[in-house]
Amino acid sequence: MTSGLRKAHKFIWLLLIITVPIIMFFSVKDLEFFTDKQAKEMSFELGDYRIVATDENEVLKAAILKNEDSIKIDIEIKTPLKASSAEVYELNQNKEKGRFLGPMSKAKTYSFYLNNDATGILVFDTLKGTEITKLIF
Amino acid sequence: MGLDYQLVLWNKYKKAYDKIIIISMLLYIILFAAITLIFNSETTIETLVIRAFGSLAIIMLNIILIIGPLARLNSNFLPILYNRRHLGVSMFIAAFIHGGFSIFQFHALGDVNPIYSIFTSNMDYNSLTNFPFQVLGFIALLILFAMASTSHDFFLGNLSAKVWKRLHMMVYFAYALIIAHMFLGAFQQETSPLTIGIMTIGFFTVASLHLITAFKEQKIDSMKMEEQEGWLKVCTISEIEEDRAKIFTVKNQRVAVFKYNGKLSAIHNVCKHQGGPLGEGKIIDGCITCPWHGYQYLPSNGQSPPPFTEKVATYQLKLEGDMIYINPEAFDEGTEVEPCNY
Amino acid sequence: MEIIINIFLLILSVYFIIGLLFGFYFLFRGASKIDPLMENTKTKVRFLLFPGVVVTWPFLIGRLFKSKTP
Ligand code: HEM
Ligand code: FES
Repeated sequence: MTSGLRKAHKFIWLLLIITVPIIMFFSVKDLEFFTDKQAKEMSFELGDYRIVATDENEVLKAAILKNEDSIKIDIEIKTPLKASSAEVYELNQNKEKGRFLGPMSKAKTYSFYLNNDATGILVFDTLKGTEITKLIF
Repeated sequence: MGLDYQLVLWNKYKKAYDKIIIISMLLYIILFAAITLIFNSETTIETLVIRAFGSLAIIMLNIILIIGPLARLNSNFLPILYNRRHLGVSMFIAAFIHGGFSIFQFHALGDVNPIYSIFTSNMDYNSLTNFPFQVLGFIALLILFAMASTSHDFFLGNLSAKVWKRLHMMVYFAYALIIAHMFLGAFQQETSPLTIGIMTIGFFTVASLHLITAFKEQKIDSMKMEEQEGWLKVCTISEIEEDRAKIFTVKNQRVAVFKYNGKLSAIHNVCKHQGGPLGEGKIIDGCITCPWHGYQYLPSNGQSPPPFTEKVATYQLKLEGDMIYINPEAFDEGTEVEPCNY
Repeated sequence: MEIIINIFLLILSVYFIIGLLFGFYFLFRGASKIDPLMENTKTKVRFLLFPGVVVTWPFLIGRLFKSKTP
C-alpha cells in the first residue's frame, strides 16, 4: 500500500466507527426486547375470564376473553405462516392498524391483552408490508 | 503468471485452504439448519436458507475484514491473507444465495418486476426503524458482485491497480450497508439481544483492529530521519536481520532496505501485484519475495526474474563505518544499482 | 421517491445491458488488443472473466480507445 491509500483507509475506518454505532444505536433504541415473552402460549385455564366471542378464518382462530378489568385475545394459528416475520396488531376504533401486540410465526396459540376499544386484529407481514389476514369482531 | 490466464492459480496450499473454506461453510449451514429445526421446527425451508446463508455471509465478511490488520500485527496470519480472495468470492456466493432466495420468497410472486419490488414494496424511506432494509442489502450485494467478479488477476492488470483498489475499497461501504441491513431488518423482527450483541462486538473488533494498525502505520510514515549532505541516515547494519529488511519512509515513500550475503540493497516497498509490503518479505533463492502472494524481485535492480516483467523503483545506499545512508531520490523502476558490500 | 427509484433502476439496467453486449465483444476480440496474455487464454477462462467485464466496461472501453490511438 502507498501512504495515500493508508490515509484513505484510516479515514474510512474513522468514519465507520463514528457512523455505524449511531445507526446501530438508533435502530435498537426503541426495540422491546421482551415482547416474545408476552406472547406466551395460551394456558387453557380460563381463570376468571369468560369467552365473549370467537371467530375463525382460514388462517387463524381467535377467542376474546374478558374479566372484570381486562380483555384478552387468544389467537391460534392453524398452519405455519409462510411469511417469515408476521406480527399482530390491534385494529383501532377506525378499523385501522393500531397498537403492536407481538410477533407470531409458528402454528400455536398466542395470547395478548387488548385495549378496551379494539375493533379487531390484523396479522401483518412486515417484510412485504402486506396484510396476511384480518379479523373484525 | 504464465503466457495466458488460468482459471485459478492453484497450488497445494491454496487447495488446502479452499477445502477448509468449503467444509467450514457446509458445516455452518448444516449446524444452523439442525439447530433451527430442533428449536423452531416449523420454520419453512426458504426462511431457513435465507437466514443460514445471510448469517454465514456476514460472519465470513467479518473474518475477511479482520485478516488484513491481523496479518500486519502478526505475521502468522499471512498465509490466510494469500487466500483472502477465495474467501471473498465464497462470501459473495453465500450472500448471493441469501439475496436470491429473499427475492424469490418475497418479491418474485407478485406481478411487478422482483427488483423493482425490492425498492417499492416498502416505501417508508423517511423512517429509520421501518426503512426498506432490503434495498440496503441489494446495493451491498451489487458491490460484492463487482468485487467478486473482478477478483481475477486479469482485472488487476487491465483496470490499473488504482481503479481496482478503489473498487475493492468499496467493501467498507458495503460492510456498513450490511450492518444497517441487519439492524433495520432482521433485528427489528427477531429482537434477540444475543445476535445483536454478537454483531455489535464483531463490528467494534473489526473497526478497532483496523484503526490500531492504521495508527501504527502512521507512525512509520511520519518518521523523521537525520539528513547529511543529501543522504538520509537509515540505521546500523546489525539492526537488520539477515535475508530480511527494515522499512523506512523517505520523501513520503516507503523503502525496504534488505541485508543478504554480505550485501545491502534498497527498493521501493510496494509490490506491483497488489501493493504488498515487500520489506516484510524474505529473500528466498536470492529474490525478494512478497509476503502477500509471492511475487519476486531481484534486490539489485527491482526486476522480477524472467519471464516476468514487474519492476519496482530502486534506491542507492552508502556505508559509513557501520551506519547505512540512503539517497532519497528514487531511481526509475528496474534500474540496476550496485549493492553495498560490507 | 418513486421517480428516483425508477431513474436509478433504469440507469442500472442500461448499464448492465451495455455491459453484456460489450462483454462478448471484449472477451472474444477486444481484450487481446490491450492484454497480450489474452491471446492464448482458453474459452472457459474468458467466461470466468465475463461478469467482471460486464461490471467494469466503462474502464475497459477507455483502455481500448487509448490503445488504438497511441
Ligand atoms: C438482494 C439483496 C438482499 C435481499 C433482498 C435481502 C433480504 C433479506 C431479508 C428479507 C432478511 C430478513 C430475513 C428474515 O428475517 O427471515 C435479511 C436478513 C439478513 N441479511 Fe439480507 N438481503 C440481501 C442482501 C444481503 C447481503 C449482501 C448480506 C450480507 C453479506 C445480507 C445479510 C443478511 C443478514 C446477516 C441478515 C440477518 C440474519 C438472517 O436472517 O439471515 N443480506 N435479508
Ligand atoms: S501483493 Fe500480491 S504478491 Fe505482492
